[in-house]
Amino acid sequence: MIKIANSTKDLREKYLRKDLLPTIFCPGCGNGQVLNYVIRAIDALNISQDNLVFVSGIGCSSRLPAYLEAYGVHTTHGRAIAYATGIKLTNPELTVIVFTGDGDISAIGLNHFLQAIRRNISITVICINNENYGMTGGQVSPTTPMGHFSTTTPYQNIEHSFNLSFLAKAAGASYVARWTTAHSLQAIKSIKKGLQKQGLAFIEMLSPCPVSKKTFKNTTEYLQYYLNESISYSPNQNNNTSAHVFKDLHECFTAQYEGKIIVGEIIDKEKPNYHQLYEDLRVRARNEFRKNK
Amino acid sequence: MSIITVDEILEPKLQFATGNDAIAYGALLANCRFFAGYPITPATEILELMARYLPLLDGGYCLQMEDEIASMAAIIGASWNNYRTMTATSGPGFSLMQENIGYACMTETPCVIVNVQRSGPSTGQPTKPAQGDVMEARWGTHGDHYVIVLYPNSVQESLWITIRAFNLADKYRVPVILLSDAALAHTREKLTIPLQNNIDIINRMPVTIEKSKYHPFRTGFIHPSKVPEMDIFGQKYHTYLTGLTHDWKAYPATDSAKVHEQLVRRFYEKIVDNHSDIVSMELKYMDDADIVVVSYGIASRPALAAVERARAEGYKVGYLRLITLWPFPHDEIYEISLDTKKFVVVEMNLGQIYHKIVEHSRGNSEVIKCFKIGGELHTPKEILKKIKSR
Amino acid sequence: MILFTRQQELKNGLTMKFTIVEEYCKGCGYCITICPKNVLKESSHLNSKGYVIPEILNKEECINCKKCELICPEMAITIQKEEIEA
Repeated sequence: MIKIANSTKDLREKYLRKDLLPTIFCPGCGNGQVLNYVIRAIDALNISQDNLVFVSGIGCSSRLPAYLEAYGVHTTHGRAIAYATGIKLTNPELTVIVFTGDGDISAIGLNHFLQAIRRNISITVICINNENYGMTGGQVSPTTPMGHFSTTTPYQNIEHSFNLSFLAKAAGASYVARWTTAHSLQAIKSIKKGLQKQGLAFIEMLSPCPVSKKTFKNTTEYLQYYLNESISYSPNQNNNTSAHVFKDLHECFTAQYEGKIIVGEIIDKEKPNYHQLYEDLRVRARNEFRKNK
Repeated sequence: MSIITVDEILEPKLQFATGNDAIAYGALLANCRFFAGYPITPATEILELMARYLPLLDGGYCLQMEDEIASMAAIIGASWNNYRTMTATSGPGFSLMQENIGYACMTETPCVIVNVQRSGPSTGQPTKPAQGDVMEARWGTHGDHYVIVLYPNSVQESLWITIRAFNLADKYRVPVILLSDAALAHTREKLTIPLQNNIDIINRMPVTIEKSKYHPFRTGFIHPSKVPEMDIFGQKYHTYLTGLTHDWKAYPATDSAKVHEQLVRRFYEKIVDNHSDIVSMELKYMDDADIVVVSYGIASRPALAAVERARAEGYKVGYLRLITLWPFPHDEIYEISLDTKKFVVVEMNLGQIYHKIVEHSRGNSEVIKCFKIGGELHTPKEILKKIKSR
Repeated sequence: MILFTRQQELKNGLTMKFTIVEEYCKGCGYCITICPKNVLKESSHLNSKGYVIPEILNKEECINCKKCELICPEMAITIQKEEIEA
């Protein structure tokens, strides 16, 4: 059970830069919801704001660090994770959270994302996936489902789309969760788990873009869609508590093609993180240096 | 276990070292403790040396990133943890870094970028020296910005200039680009390594005032300098950094012409106002000279030989070597041009600094081109011919 | 920990206070859709930016699930317990 410790008013007072509010986001945008969840997760874990660094790239989602009363770095398009690598490595005391969009992480910055997973840097990457480039007015992105219309695919998107969570899992991430913005409590729980993870945690938040990606006529239809069509991914789950248990990935992807949204905790495993390994290396290097002296 | 010091690693003594070695040693002596890079000929040795030595030092990290874009990003990030950071690359990698160099300019992040030049465009001649990146170093990233560009001409000077690059970067909160070239990088020469105690380190200005009075990009509040004090992550000031045009609170203000003008003009002013502190050049035989040979970097070595030969033949030739390429020593060139009949500009490109000499000699003197490309150095004879030409 | 059911809380004289920062609200209507008890509805009142803000229909029905508070993209809603004035 998740305890809601502080009232929203207190959280707002504590964590938001009030001189920048209200946010620049459109009505019904999921970015604000993710901000809401992240604040609650941080508050529940009692992380000091002085040690919090929010790193972001370019796009709507990347405007989030500006609103947070903590350190924020709004970097260049797609490079947020590369900046975060430098920040986290040189000061492991910091809690580094990367806010990124789907264009940021799956198109221009995909390499940095996969490499950071490979290195297993202890950062929490929160991808707000609205399946299009919202800030520039709704162009196709690598996560836009096939067959969708966008301003740059006026005759339907003919490209296969990425499922970022499964991509992260395949690359070897130590923690991956996928939720929609309608899954408030699950998202908060996953963000908390991700923040506590010693290694790269990736949380994909499927988010509505009611203005640029006109799948639905109004914002509440998005919410209904997320609530009704989400099915939880829980393979190998023995205790059948979930209504939907996939036999294998194939079945899972078939459901996705049929318009279902796969959500859930995709993976949670232990893996040595880069910082530990670097410190081990340092000891070895020093011993060798002294021996050769 | 006792701490390993830089002096223990470098064993200060006379060494026979390459230009790349000297840059790596200089960086270690200057307290550079974070290096991110990507292998590229002819700069790879710097990454290799850093990977060997940085893990030995306290808080030292060396990372081989996935590309030059990420290397540049990582050193900017690490710089905000009060680290002195560096990356090293060559032409193609330097082109990739440009976007993030712009970010470093905008957020006023100190860092040092080594560009060991090779012939271009594109992959060009990876193992051959060139000086084709002089204008790219100054104007590579888009938009109005200012960077400091330094260029040594010997192995020993590479070490000192590297240390100076770190000091300038921290003092003026600006990315400093250290140019070298494939010839200088792989030339082995005598190198005297100093003790770390004998090195002057000028650190960035830390924030000392209370939170309510501190604004990340406010200048002229505590001291008159146009360089703001620099925050460090993990303190109480909660600085927000953005590549967008920002006001002195660091909040985005993209619609304001006034804010943008103030911000970008300050980037210029903080460098231009300190022109005399930053600009350095080497002058020889200038007292009676009516012909001046202008050169920089590796090309200055045949240039000096040519000047000395010409002197022996009775020509009144002076030798001017630029060490700081940018900011360009425009006033100095103008003053020299008043007593000079002819400038001979020796460069390993098809004319980059040449245009600055033409501009700042303001028609007082004739400016002769002495360009050579293709990966070979000038011979003193070629330069001598230009000195003698009428 | 003692958990009170909503009925017990009502007996104890507790009701929920729904506060919204009007200026932050963008009228997305998520709070209205998510509410399991249909306590919220669109009001006839517009805020200064012209968005339709939600209002509470009957606070006795509210079960303090805080779904509206969690889903709000602007963190504008606060649900707090309040004493019923006698």
